[in-house]
Amino acid sequence: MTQRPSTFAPLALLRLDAAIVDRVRREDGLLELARSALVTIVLGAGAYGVAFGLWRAPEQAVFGAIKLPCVLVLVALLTAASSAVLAPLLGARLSPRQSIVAILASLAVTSSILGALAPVAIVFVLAASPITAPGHAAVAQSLVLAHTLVIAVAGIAGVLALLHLVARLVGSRPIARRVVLAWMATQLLTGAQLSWLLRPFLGRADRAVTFFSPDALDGGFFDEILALSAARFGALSPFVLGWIALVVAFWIGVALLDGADREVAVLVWPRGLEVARRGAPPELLPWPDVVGASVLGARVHVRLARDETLVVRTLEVPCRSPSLAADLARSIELSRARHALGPYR
Amino acid sequence: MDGHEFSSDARALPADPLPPPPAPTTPLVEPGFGAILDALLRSPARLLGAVKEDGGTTTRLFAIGVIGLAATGVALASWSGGPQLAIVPLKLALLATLTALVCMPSLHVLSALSGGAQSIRETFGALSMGIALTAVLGLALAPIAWVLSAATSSLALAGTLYLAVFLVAAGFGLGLVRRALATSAGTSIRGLGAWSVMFVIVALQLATTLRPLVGAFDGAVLHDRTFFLAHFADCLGAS
Repeated sequence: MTQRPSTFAPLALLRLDAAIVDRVRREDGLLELARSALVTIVLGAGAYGVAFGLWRAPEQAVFGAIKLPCVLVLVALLTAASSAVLAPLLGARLSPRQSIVAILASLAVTSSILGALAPVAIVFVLAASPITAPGHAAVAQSLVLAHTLVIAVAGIAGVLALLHLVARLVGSRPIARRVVLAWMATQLLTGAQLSWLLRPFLGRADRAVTFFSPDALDGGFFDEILALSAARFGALSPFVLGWIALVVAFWIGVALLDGADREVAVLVWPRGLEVARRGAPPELLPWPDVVGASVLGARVHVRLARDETLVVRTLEVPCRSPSLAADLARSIELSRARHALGPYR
Repeated sequence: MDGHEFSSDARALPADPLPPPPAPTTPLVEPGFGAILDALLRSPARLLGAVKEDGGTTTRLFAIGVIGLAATGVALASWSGGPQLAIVPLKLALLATLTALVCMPSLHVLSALSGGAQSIRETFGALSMGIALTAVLGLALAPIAWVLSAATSSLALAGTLYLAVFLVAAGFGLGLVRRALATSAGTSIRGLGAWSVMFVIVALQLATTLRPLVGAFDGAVLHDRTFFLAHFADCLGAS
Protein backbone atom coordinates (compact mmCIF):
# COMPACT_ATOMS: atom_id res chain seq x y z
CA MET A 1 0.00 0.00 0.00
CA THR A 2 1.44 3.36 -0.98
CA GLN A 3 1.59 6.14 1.56
CA ARG A 4 -0.25 9.27 0.50
CA PRO A 5 1.57 12.57 0.94
CA SER A 6 0.02 15.11 3.23
CA THR A 7 -1.39 18.31 1.74
CA PHE A 8 2.05 19.91 1.93
CA ALA A 9 4.74 17.48 0.82
CA PRO A 10 7.31 19.39 -1.22
CA LEU A 11 10.11 16.85 -0.74
CA ALA A 12 7.92 13.96 -1.93
CA LEU A 13 7.11 16.01 -5.02
CA LEU A 14 10.80 16.90 -5.47
CA ARG A 15 11.78 13.24 -5.43
CA LEU A 16 8.93 12.23 -7.74
CA ASP A 17 9.47 8.71 -6.45
CA ALA A 18 7.85 5.52 -7.68
CA ALA A 19 4.87 5.90 -5.31
CA ILE A 20 4.01 9.36 -6.69
CA VAL A 21 4.48 8.27 -10.32
CA ASP A 22 2.30 5.22 -9.66
CA ARG A 23 -0.43 7.39 -8.14
CA VAL A 24 -0.42 9.72 -11.14
CA ARG A 25 -0.49 6.69 -13.47
CA ARG A 26 -3.48 5.19 -11.61
CA GLU A 27 -5.12 8.64 -11.27
CA ASP A 28 -5.44 7.93 -7.57
CA GLY A 29 -5.79 10.96 -5.29
CA LEU A 30 -4.75 13.43 -7.98
CA LEU A 31 -6.63 16.21 -6.23
CA GLU A 32 -4.45 15.78 -3.13
CA LEU A 33 -1.32 15.85 -5.27
CA ALA A 34 -2.53 18.99 -7.03
CA ARG A 35 -3.30 20.61 -3.68
CA SER A 36 0.14 19.69 -2.36
CA ALA A 37 1.77 21.12 -5.51
CA LEU A 38 -0.26 24.35 -5.21
CA VAL A 39 0.73 24.83 -1.55
CA THR A 40 4.38 24.25 -2.54
CA ILE A 41 4.11 26.81 -5.35
CA VAL A 42 2.51 29.42 -3.09
CA LEU A 43 5.11 28.98 -0.33
CA GLY A 44 8.23 28.41 -2.46
CA ALA A 45 7.66 31.01 -5.17
CA GLY A 46 6.19 33.35 -2.53
CA ALA A 47 9.40 33.16 -0.51
CA TYR A 48 11.45 34.03 -3.58
CA GLY A 49 9.01 36.84 -4.39
CA VAL A 50 9.97 38.37 -1.02
CA ALA A 51 13.65 38.24 -2.02
CA PHE A 52 12.79 39.85 -5.37
CA GLY A 53 10.96 42.87 -3.96
CA LEU A 54 12.83 43.35 -0.69
CA TRP A 55 15.53 45.58 -2.17
CA ARG A 56 12.95 48.25 -3.19
CA ALA A 57 10.78 48.26 -0.05
CA PRO A 58 9.07 45.84 2.40
CA GLU A 59 5.72 46.51 0.65
CA GLN A 60 7.26 45.50 -2.69
CA ALA A 61 8.44 42.27 -1.00
CA VAL A 62 4.86 41.52 0.05
CA PHE A 63 3.63 42.23 -3.49
CA GLY A 64 6.36 39.97 -4.88
CA ALA A 65 5.31 37.19 -2.50
CA ILE A 66 1.81 37.40 -3.99
CA LYS A 67 2.71 37.98 -7.64
CA LEU A 68 5.40 35.35 -8.28
CA PRO A 69 3.16 32.40 -7.26
CA CYS A 70 0.34 34.09 -9.23
CA VAL A 71 2.45 34.00 -12.41
CA LEU A 72 3.17 30.27 -12.01
CA VAL A 73 -0.42 29.33 -11.12
CA LEU A 74 -1.85 31.46 -13.96
CA VAL A 75 0.59 29.87 -16.43
CA ALA A 76 -0.64 26.43 -15.36
CA LEU A 77 -4.27 27.59 -15.55
CA LEU A 78 -4.07 29.28 -18.96
CA THR A 79 -2.12 26.44 -20.56
CA ALA A 80 -4.12 23.63 -18.92
CA ALA A 81 -6.49 23.14 -21.86
CA SER A 82 -3.79 23.22 -24.53
CA SER A 83 -1.55 20.88 -22.50
CA ALA A 84 -4.41 18.41 -22.04
CA VAL A 85 -5.18 18.47 -25.78
CA LEU A 86 -1.58 18.44 -27.03
CA ALA A 87 -0.45 15.44 -24.94
CA PRO A 88 -2.65 12.80 -26.65
CA LEU A 89 -2.10 14.44 -30.05
CA LEU A 90 1.65 13.95 -29.63
CA GLY A 91 1.29 10.30 -28.69
CA ALA A 92 1.13 10.41 -24.88
CA ARG A 93 -1.83 8.54 -23.48
CA LEU A 94 -2.34 10.99 -20.62
CA SER A 95 -5.73 12.10 -19.35
CA PRO A 96 -6.34 15.86 -18.90
CA ARG A 97 -6.09 15.40 -15.12
CA GLN A 98 -2.75 13.59 -15.42
CA SER A 99 -1.38 16.32 -17.70
CA ILE A 100 -2.41 19.09 -15.32
CA VAL A 101 -1.01 17.31 -12.24
CA ALA A 102 2.28 16.63 -14.05
CA ILE A 103 2.61 20.33 -14.90
CA LEU A 104 1.72 21.40 -11.35
CA ALA A 105 4.29 18.92 -9.99
CA SER A 106 7.00 20.39 -12.23
CA LEU A 107 6.09 23.93 -11.15
CA ALA A 108 6.20 22.71 -7.54
CA VAL A 109 9.76 21.44 -8.14
CA THR A 110 10.70 24.87 -9.55
CA SER A 111 9.04 26.58 -6.57
CA SER A 112 10.73 24.30 -4.03
CA ILE A 113 14.14 25.22 -5.44
CA LEU A 114 13.18 28.92 -5.46
CA GLY A 115 11.98 28.63 -1.86
CA ALA A 116 15.20 26.88 -0.83
CA LEU A 117 17.31 29.59 -2.47
CA ALA A 118 15.20 32.47 -1.10
CA PRO A 119 17.21 32.81 2.19
CA VAL A 120 20.46 32.99 0.18
CA ALA A 121 18.97 35.61 -2.13
CA ILE A 122 17.64 37.61 0.83
CA VAL A 123 21.11 37.69 2.41
CA PHE A 124 22.62 39.09 -0.80
CA VAL A 125 19.77 41.59 -1.27
CA LEU A 126 20.22 42.87 2.30
CA ALA A 127 23.97 43.10 1.76
CA ALA A 128 23.62 45.09 -1.48
CA SER A 129 23.84 48.91 -1.53
CA PRO A 130 20.41 50.33 -0.68
CA ILE A 131 18.16 51.93 -3.27
CA THR A 132 18.87 55.37 -1.78
CA ALA A 133 22.65 55.07 -2.35
CA PRO A 134 24.35 56.51 -5.44
CA GLY A 135 24.86 54.01 -8.24
CA HIS A 136 21.66 52.14 -7.43
CA ALA A 137 20.93 51.57 -11.13
CA ALA A 138 23.94 49.26 -11.47
CA VAL A 139 22.90 47.37 -8.33
CA ALA A 140 19.37 46.98 -9.71
CA GLN A 141 20.73 45.58 -12.99
CA SER A 142 22.95 43.09 -11.12
CA LEU A 143 20.03 41.99 -8.94
CA VAL A 144 17.74 41.50 -11.94
CA LEU A 145 20.43 39.42 -13.64
CA ALA A 146 21.04 37.31 -10.51
CA HIS A 147 17.30 36.72 -9.91
CA THR A 148 16.80 35.80 -13.58
CA LEU A 149 19.64 33.29 -13.36
CA VAL A 150 18.21 31.70 -10.21
CA ILE A 151 14.74 31.47 -11.76
CA ALA A 152 16.21 30.00 -14.95
CA VAL A 153 18.09 27.32 -12.99
CA ALA A 154 14.97 26.46 -10.98
CA GLY A 155 12.92 26.42 -14.20
CA ILE A 156 15.36 24.03 -15.89
CA ALA A 157 15.17 21.71 -12.86
CA GLY A 158 11.36 21.81 -13.14
CA VAL A 159 11.47 20.96 -16.85
CA LEU A 160 13.84 18.03 -16.21
CA ALA A 161 11.52 16.75 -13.47
CA LEU A 162 8.58 17.06 -15.86
CA LEU A 163 10.46 15.18 -18.58
CA HIS A 164 11.35 12.43 -16.11
CA LEU A 165 7.76 12.16 -14.85
CA VAL A 166 6.15 12.15 -18.31
CA ALA A 167 8.70 9.61 -19.63
CA ARG A 168 7.83 7.26 -16.78
CA LEU A 169 4.10 7.80 -17.29
CA VAL A 170 4.05 7.21 -21.06
CA GLY A 171 6.94 4.70 -21.20
CA SER A 172 8.70 6.40 -24.10
CA ARG A 173 11.35 9.09 -23.86
CA PRO A 174 10.92 10.43 -27.45
CA ILE A 175 7.19 10.92 -26.87
CA ALA A 176 7.88 12.53 -23.48
CA ARG A 177 10.41 14.90 -25.12
CA ARG A 178 7.86 15.90 -27.78
CA VAL A 179 5.12 16.53 -25.21
CA VAL A 180 7.35 18.49 -22.82
CA LEU A 181 8.72 20.58 -25.72
CA ALA A 182 5.18 21.53 -26.77
CA TRP A 183 4.17 22.29 -23.18
CA MET A 184 7.29 24.41 -22.64
CA ALA A 185 6.65 26.41 -25.80
CA THR A 186 3.15 27.38 -24.63
CA GLN A 187 4.27 27.98 -21.03
CA LEU A 188 7.22 30.18 -22.02
CA LEU A 189 5.02 32.37 -24.25
CA THR A 190 2.34 32.69 -21.56
CA GLY A 191 4.81 33.12 -18.69
CA ALA A 192 6.73 35.88 -20.48
CA GLN A 193 3.54 37.83 -21.14
CA LEU A 194 2.13 37.29 -17.61
CA SER A 195 5.35 38.42 -15.94
CA TRP A 196 5.17 41.53 -18.13
CA LEU A 197 1.54 42.20 -17.15
CA LEU A 198 2.22 41.68 -13.43
CA ARG A 199 5.37 43.86 -13.34
CA PRO A 200 7.09 45.38 -11.35
CA PHE A 201 8.78 42.62 -9.34
CA LEU A 202 11.98 44.43 -8.36
CA GLY A 203 10.59 47.98 -8.35
CA ARG A 204 12.22 51.21 -9.50
CA ALA A 205 13.69 54.02 -7.45
CA ASP A 206 11.97 56.71 -9.55
CA ARG A 207 8.50 55.19 -9.16
CA ALA A 208 6.25 54.63 -6.18
CA VAL A 209 5.79 51.11 -4.80
CA THR A 210 2.80 49.59 -6.61
CA PHE A 211 1.19 46.22 -7.04
CA PHE A 212 0.49 46.78 -10.76
CA SER A 213 2.44 49.10 -12.99
CA PRO A 214 0.19 52.03 -14.06
CA ASP A 215 0.97 51.15 -17.70
CA ALA A 216 0.51 47.39 -17.18
CA LEU A 217 -1.94 47.03 -20.07
CA ASP A 218 -0.09 49.41 -22.35
CA GLY A 219 1.79 47.12 -24.74
CA GLY A 220 3.00 43.62 -24.13
CA PHE A 221 6.18 41.62 -23.67
CA PHE A 222 6.62 41.02 -27.40
CA ASP A 223 5.69 44.63 -28.30
CA GLU A 224 8.47 45.70 -25.95
CA ILE A 225 10.99 43.25 -27.43
CA LEU A 226 10.19 44.50 -30.95
CA ALA A 227 10.35 48.17 -29.91
CA LEU A 228 13.64 47.68 -28.02
CA SER A 229 15.12 45.80 -30.95
CA ALA A 230 14.06 48.51 -33.43
CA ALA A 231 15.46 51.27 -31.20
CA ARG A 232 18.79 49.56 -30.60
CA PHE A 233 19.49 47.63 -33.81
CA GLY A 234 17.53 49.51 -36.48
CA ALA A 235 14.13 49.35 -38.15
CA LEU A 236 14.83 46.03 -39.89
CA SER A 237 15.65 44.13 -36.70
CA PRO A 238 11.98 43.24 -35.85
CA PHE A 239 11.77 41.45 -39.23
CA VAL A 240 15.05 39.62 -38.45
CA LEU A 241 13.63 38.64 -35.05
CA GLY A 242 10.43 37.51 -36.77
CA TRP A 243 12.45 35.26 -39.10
CA ILE A 244 14.40 33.84 -36.16
CA ALA A 245 11.09 33.11 -34.39
CA LEU A 246 9.83 31.45 -37.56
CA VAL A 247 12.93 29.22 -37.79
CA VAL A 248 12.61 28.27 -34.10
CA ALA A 249 8.88 27.53 -34.58
CA PHE A 250 9.72 25.41 -37.65
CA TRP A 251 12.37 23.50 -35.66
CA ILE A 252 9.86 22.90 -32.85
CA GLY A 253 7.30 21.74 -35.43
CA VAL A 254 9.78 19.30 -37.01
CA ALA A 255 10.76 17.99 -33.58
CA LEU A 256 7.08 17.53 -32.66
CA LEU A 257 6.19 15.74 -35.88
CA ASP A 258 9.24 13.45 -35.95
CA GLY A 259 7.56 10.07 -35.49
CA ALA A 260 10.66 7.86 -35.24
CA ASP A 261 11.32 6.05 -31.97
CA ARG A 262 15.11 5.88 -31.83
CA GLU A 263 17.53 3.79 -29.80
CA VAL A 264 15.22 0.87 -29.13
CA ALA A 265 16.32 -2.75 -28.77
CA VAL A 266 14.27 -5.61 -30.19
CA LEU A 267 13.93 -9.34 -29.72
CA VAL A 268 12.36 -11.58 -32.37
CA TRP A 269 9.86 -14.08 -30.90
CA PRO A 270 7.49 -16.48 -32.68
CA ARG A 271 4.51 -14.48 -31.48
CA GLY A 272 5.82 -11.00 -32.17
CA LEU A 273 8.54 -8.42 -31.80
CA GLU A 274 9.55 -7.45 -28.28
CA VAL A 275 10.56 -3.79 -28.11
CA ALA A 276 12.59 -2.42 -25.20
CA ARG A 277 13.17 1.25 -24.63
CA ARG A 278 15.53 2.68 -22.07
CA GLY A 279 13.78 3.06 -18.72
CA ALA A 280 10.51 1.46 -19.85
CA PRO A 281 9.10 -2.06 -19.55
CA PRO A 282 9.34 -4.16 -22.74
CA GLU A 283 6.37 -4.24 -25.07
CA LEU A 284 5.39 -7.19 -27.28
CA LEU A 285 4.14 -6.16 -30.70
CA PRO A 286 2.21 -8.99 -32.42
CA TRP A 287 3.39 -9.67 -36.01
CA PRO A 288 0.27 -8.20 -37.69
CA ASP A 289 1.33 -4.87 -36.13
CA VAL A 290 4.71 -4.97 -37.91
CA VAL A 291 4.49 -3.78 -41.52
CA GLY A 292 8.10 -4.20 -42.61
CA ALA A 293 11.79 -3.83 -41.86
CA SER A 294 14.50 -2.17 -43.91
CA VAL A 295 18.22 -1.55 -43.42
CA LEU A 296 20.00 1.78 -43.54
CA GLY A 297 23.70 1.37 -42.73
CA ALA A 298 23.98 -0.25 -39.30
CA ARG A 299 20.38 0.58 -38.40
CA VAL A 300 17.18 -1.36 -38.94
CA HIS A 301 14.03 0.66 -39.55
CA VAL A 302 10.94 -1.25 -38.42
CA ARG A 303 7.64 0.16 -39.73
CA LEU A 304 4.58 -0.50 -37.60
CA ALA A 305 0.91 -0.62 -38.55
CA ARG A 306 -1.36 2.29 -37.71
CA ASP A 307 -2.13 2.33 -34.01
CA GLU A 308 -5.21 3.61 -32.21
CA THR A 309 -4.20 7.19 -32.97
CA LEU A 310 -3.88 6.30 -36.69
CA VAL A 311 -0.18 7.17 -36.58
CA VAL A 312 2.35 4.99 -38.43
CA ARG A 313 5.32 4.63 -36.09
CA THR A 314 8.87 3.74 -37.11
CA LEU A 315 11.38 2.14 -34.77
CA GLU A 316 15.09 2.62 -35.32
CA VAL A 317 17.19 -0.27 -34.03
CA PRO A 318 20.96 0.40 -33.86
CA CYS A 319 23.17 -2.66 -34.56
CA ARG A 320 26.91 -3.28 -34.25
CA SER A 321 27.49 -3.55 -38.00
CA PRO A 322 25.59 -3.33 -41.31
CA SER A 323 25.78 -7.12 -41.70
CA LEU A 324 24.15 -7.66 -38.27
CA ALA A 325 21.50 -5.11 -39.21
CA ALA A 326 20.82 -7.01 -42.45
CA ASP A 327 20.55 -10.28 -40.46
CA LEU A 328 18.11 -8.73 -38.02
CA ALA A 329 15.95 -7.25 -40.80
CA ARG A 330 15.91 -10.64 -42.59
CA SER A 331 14.93 -12.36 -39.35
CA ILE A 332 12.05 -9.92 -38.83
CA GLU A 333 10.84 -10.36 -42.41
CA LEU A 334 11.03 -14.18 -42.12
CA SER A 335 9.06 -14.18 -38.86
CA ARG A 336 6.45 -11.88 -40.39
CA ALA A 337 6.12 -14.12 -43.43
CA ARG A 338 5.90 -17.24 -41.24
CA HIS A 339 3.12 -15.66 -39.21
CA ALA A 340 1.27 -14.48 -42.32
CA LEU A 341 1.34 -17.98 -43.86
CA GLY A 342 0.25 -19.72 -40.65
CA PRO A 343 1.35 -23.11 -39.23
CA TYR A 344 -0.47 -25.39 -41.81
CA ARG A 345 0.96 -24.00 -45.04
CA MET B 1 20.21 -2.43 -21.26
CA ASP B 2 22.61 -2.49 -24.19
CA GLY B 3 20.58 -2.09 -27.35
CA HIS B 4 23.33 -3.47 -29.63
CA GLU B 5 23.69 -6.79 -27.84
CA PHE B 6 19.97 -7.09 -27.40
CA SER B 7 19.16 -6.72 -31.10
CA SER B 8 22.04 -8.78 -32.49
CA ASP B 9 21.31 -11.76 -30.21
CA ALA B 10 17.65 -11.76 -31.16
CA ARG B 11 17.58 -14.89 -33.32
CA ALA B 12 19.35 -17.13 -30.81
CA LEU B 13 16.63 -17.04 -28.17
CA PRO B 14 14.58 -20.21 -28.00
CA ALA B 15 11.19 -19.62 -26.38
CA ASP B 16 8.63 -16.93 -25.90
CA PRO B 17 8.59 -15.84 -22.24
CA LEU B 18 5.86 -13.24 -22.48
CA PRO B 19 2.16 -13.92 -22.00
CA PRO B 20 0.10 -13.93 -25.19
CA PRO B 21 -1.00 -10.47 -26.27
CA PRO B 22 -4.59 -9.58 -25.36
CA ALA B 23 -7.18 -9.98 -28.08
CA PRO B 24 -7.71 -6.65 -29.83
CA THR B 25 -10.89 -4.98 -28.69
CA THR B 26 -12.18 -1.99 -30.58
CA PRO B 27 -15.44 -0.94 -29.03
CA LEU B 28 -17.09 1.85 -30.96
CA VAL B 29 -17.60 5.28 -29.51
CA GLU B 30 -20.55 6.14 -27.28
CA PRO B 31 -22.88 8.65 -28.91
CA GLY B 32 -22.27 11.45 -26.35
CA PHE B 33 -20.22 14.54 -27.23
CA GLY B 34 -17.80 13.85 -24.35
CA ALA B 35 -17.02 10.33 -25.58
CA ILE B 36 -16.55 11.61 -29.14
CA LEU B 37 -14.17 14.33 -27.92
CA ASP B 38 -12.19 11.81 -25.89
CA ALA B 39 -11.96 9.43 -28.86
CA LEU B 40 -10.97 12.30 -31.17
CA LEU B 41 -7.94 13.04 -28.99
CA ARG B 42 -6.97 9.60 -27.72
CA SER B 43 -8.16 6.97 -30.20
CA PRO B 44 -9.26 8.30 -33.59
CA ALA B 45 -9.22 4.69 -34.91
CA ARG B 46 -12.33 3.90 -32.84
CA LEU B 47 -13.94 7.13 -34.00
CA LEU B 48 -13.27 6.23 -37.61
CA GLY B 49 -15.04 2.90 -37.04
CA ALA B 50 -18.02 4.75 -35.56
CA VAL B 51 -18.08 7.16 -38.53
CA LYS B 52 -18.25 4.19 -40.93
CA GLU B 53 -21.17 2.62 -39.08
CA ASP B 54 -23.22 5.60 -37.95
CA GLY B 55 -23.94 8.85 -39.78
CA GLY B 56 -24.88 10.51 -36.46
CA THR B 57 -21.24 10.43 -35.34
CA THR B 58 -20.21 12.49 -38.38
CA THR B 59 -22.98 15.01 -37.66
CA ARG B 60 -21.85 15.31 -34.04
CA LEU B 61 -18.21 15.69 -35.12
CA PHE B 62 -19.12 18.46 -37.53
CA ALA B 63 -21.19 20.14 -34.80
CA ILE B 64 -18.18 19.97 -32.45
CA GLY B 65 -16.11 21.66 -35.17
CA VAL B 66 -18.60 24.45 -35.81
CA ILE B 67 -19.40 25.08 -32.12
CA GLY B 68 -15.71 24.90 -31.16
CA LEU B 69 -14.71 27.44 -33.81
CA ALA B 70 -17.59 29.68 -32.76
CA ALA B 71 -16.35 29.53 -29.15
CA THR B 72 -12.81 30.37 -30.32
CA GLY B 73 -14.43 33.34 -32.06
CA VAL B 74 -15.37 34.77 -28.64
CA ALA B 75 -11.67 34.92 -27.68
CA LEU B 76 -10.84 36.42 -31.07
CA ALA B 77 -13.58 39.06 -30.74
CA SER B 78 -12.58 39.99 -27.20
CA TRP B 79 -9.67 41.98 -28.65
CA SER B 80 -12.04 44.57 -30.10
CA GLY B 81 -15.18 43.82 -28.01
CA GLY B 82 -18.61 45.34 -28.66
CA PRO B 83 -20.87 43.78 -31.32
CA GLN B 84 -17.97 41.65 -32.53
CA LEU B 85 -18.49 39.37 -29.49
CA ALA B 86 -21.76 38.22 -31.07
CA ILE B 87 -20.84 38.47 -34.75
CA VAL B 88 -17.35 36.87 -34.94
CA PRO B 89 -18.51 33.49 -33.48
CA LEU B 90 -21.25 33.36 -36.13
CA LYS B 91 -18.77 34.31 -38.85
CA LEU B 92 -16.34 31.57 -37.78
CA ALA B 93 -19.15 28.97 -37.72
CA LEU B 94 -20.10 30.07 -41.26
CA LEU B 95 -16.43 30.03 -42.29
CA ALA B 96 -15.99 26.41 -41.13
CA THR B 97 -19.15 25.27 -42.93
CA LEU B 98 -18.30 27.06 -46.19
CA THR B 99 -14.69 25.85 -46.19
CA ALA B 100 -15.83 22.25 -45.66
CA LEU B 101 -18.41 22.51 -48.45
CA VAL B 102 -15.96 24.09 -50.89
CA CYS B 103 -13.10 21.64 -50.25
CA MET B 104 -15.08 18.41 -49.75
CA PRO B 105 -15.56 17.47 -53.47
CA SER B 106 -11.85 17.85 -54.28
CA LEU B 107 -10.93 15.73 -51.27
CA HIS B 108 -13.20 12.88 -52.35
CA VAL B 109 -12.02 13.02 -55.98
CA LEU B 110 -8.36 13.09 -54.90
CA SER B 111 -8.99 10.07 -52.69
CA ALA B 112 -10.67 8.19 -55.56
CA LEU B 113 -7.73 9.03 -57.84
CA SER B 114 -5.39 7.32 -55.37
CA GLY B 115 -7.54 4.18 -55.39
CA GLY B 116 -9.59 4.87 -52.27
CA ALA B 117 -12.97 3.10 -52.40
CA GLN B 118 -14.55 4.65 -49.33
CA SER B 119 -18.00 6.27 -49.49
CA ILE B 120 -18.51 10.01 -49.63
CA ARG B 121 -19.89 9.78 -46.09
CA GLU B 122 -16.60 8.32 -44.87
CA THR B 123 -14.65 11.07 -46.65
CA PHE B 124 -16.88 13.68 -45.03
CA GLY B 125 -16.38 11.86 -41.70
CA ALA B 126 -12.59 12.14 -42.08
CA LEU B 127 -12.90 15.84 -42.97
CA SER B 128 -15.23 16.41 -40.00
CA MET B 129 -12.69 14.74 -37.70
CA GLY B 130 -10.05 17.17 -38.95
CA ILE B 131 -12.31 20.22 -38.54
CA ALA B 132 -13.36 19.09 -35.06
CA LEU B 133 -9.72 18.62 -34.02
CA THR B 134 -8.80 22.03 -35.44
CA ALA B 135 -11.63 23.59 -33.43
CA VAL B 136 -10.77 21.77 -30.18
CA LEU B 137 -7.08 22.68 -30.42
CA GLY B 138 -7.93 26.26 -31.43
CA LEU B 139 -10.19 26.53 -28.40
CA ALA B 140 -7.51 25.05 -26.13
CA LEU B 141 -4.91 27.54 -27.42
CA ALA B 142 -7.34 30.49 -27.26
CA PRO B 143 -6.54 31.44 -23.61
CA ILE B 144 -2.83 31.74 -24.50
CA ALA B 145 -3.55 33.83 -27.60
CA TRP B 146 -5.96 35.93 -25.55
CA VAL B 147 -3.38 36.71 -22.84
CA LEU B 148 -0.72 37.47 -25.47
CA SER B 149 -2.98 39.77 -27.48
CA ALA B 150 -4.86 41.43 -24.59
CA ALA B 151 -2.20 44.05 -23.87
CA THR B 152 -1.17 44.89 -27.41
CA SER B 153 -2.73 47.71 -29.38
CA SER B 154 -1.30 46.46 -32.66
CA LEU B 155 -3.94 44.93 -34.93
CA ALA B 156 -1.18 43.27 -36.98
CA LEU B 157 0.34 41.57 -33.90
CA ALA B 158 -3.04 40.39 -32.59
CA GLY B 159 -4.03 39.16 -36.05
CA THR B 160 -0.70 37.35 -36.50
CA LEU B 161 -1.12 35.63 -33.12
CA TYR B 162 -4.57 34.29 -33.97
CA LEU B 163 -3.36 33.33 -37.46
CA ALA B 164 -0.52 31.33 -35.85
CA VAL B 165 -3.04 29.59 -33.55
CA PHE B 166 -5.19 28.72 -36.60
CA LEU B 167 -2.20 27.38 -38.54
CA VAL B 168 -0.99 25.20 -35.64
CA ALA B 169 -4.51 23.84 -35.03
CA ALA B 170 -5.13 23.31 -38.76
CA GLY B 171 -1.78 21.50 -39.05
CA PHE B 172 -2.89 18.92 -36.49
CA GLY B 173 -6.43 18.77 -37.97
CA LEU B 174 -5.23 18.23 -41.54
CA GLY B 175 -2.75 15.62 -40.30
CA LEU B 176 -5.69 13.72 -38.83
CA VAL B 177 -7.63 14.01 -42.12
CA ARG B 178 -4.63 12.51 -43.94
CA ARG B 179 -4.29 9.61 -41.48
CA ALA B 180 -8.03 8.92 -41.33
CA LEU B 181 -8.39 8.92 -45.12
CA ALA B 182 -5.33 6.72 -45.59
CA THR B 183 -6.82 4.24 -43.09
CA SER B 184 -10.29 4.34 -44.72
CA ALA B 185 -8.91 4.08 -48.24
CA GLY B 186 -6.27 1.49 -47.32
CA THR B 187 -3.66 3.50 -49.20
CA SER B 188 -1.90 6.82 -48.78
CA ILE B 189 -3.63 9.60 -50.71
CA ARG B 190 -1.36 11.28 -53.26
CA GLY B 191 -1.56 15.07 -53.48
CA LEU B 192 -3.08 15.49 -50.03
CA GLY B 193 -0.32 17.95 -49.10
CA ALA B 194 -1.37 20.22 -51.98
CA TRP B 195 -5.03 19.80 -50.98
CA SER B 196 -4.14 20.80 -47.39
CA VAL B 197 -2.48 24.00 -48.66
CA MET B 198 -5.58 24.69 -50.76
CA PHE B 199 -7.81 24.11 -47.70
CA VAL B 200 -5.83 26.66 -45.67
CA ILE B 201 -5.88 29.18 -48.55
CA VAL B 202 -9.66 28.77 -48.95
CA ALA B 203 -10.15 29.30 -45.20
CA LEU B 204 -7.94 32.42 -45.22
CA GLN B 205 -9.68 33.82 -48.30
CA LEU B 206 -13.13 33.28 -46.74
CA ALA B 207 -11.87 34.89 -43.52
CA THR B 208 -10.80 37.90 -45.60
CA THR B 209 -14.19 38.00 -47.32
CA LEU B 210 -15.96 37.91 -43.92
CA ARG B 211 -13.62 40.54 -42.38
CA PRO B 212 -13.21 42.12 -39.89
CA LEU B 213 -12.62 39.18 -37.54
CA VAL B 214 -10.01 40.75 -35.26
CA GLY B 215 -10.57 44.50 -35.77
CA ALA B 216 -13.50 46.61 -34.63
CA PHE B 217 -17.03 46.16 -36.01
CA ASP B 218 -17.62 48.41 -39.02
CA GLY B 219 -21.09 47.53 -40.28
CA ALA B 220 -22.88 44.34 -41.26
CA VAL B 221 -21.89 44.45 -44.93
CA LEU B 222 -19.36 42.56 -47.02
CA HIS B 223 -16.33 44.64 -47.90
CA ASP B 224 -14.73 45.13 -51.32
CA ARG B 225 -13.37 41.97 -52.88
CA THR B 226 -9.67 41.51 -52.25
CA PHE B 227 -7.12 38.69 -52.19
CA PHE B 228 -6.15 37.60 -48.67
CA LEU B 229 -2.42 38.28 -49.16
CA ALA B 230 -3.17 41.85 -50.31
CA HIS B 231 -5.37 42.31 -47.23
CA PHE B 232 -2.64 41.00 -44.90
CA ALA B 233 -0.08 43.30 -46.54
CA ASP B 234 -2.47 46.26 -46.04
CA CYS B 235 -2.89 45.39 -42.35
CA LEU B 236 0.87 45.03 -41.80
CA GLY B 237 1.52 48.28 -43.66
CA ALA B 238 -1.08 50.19 -41.63
CA SER B 239 0.38 49.17 -38.25
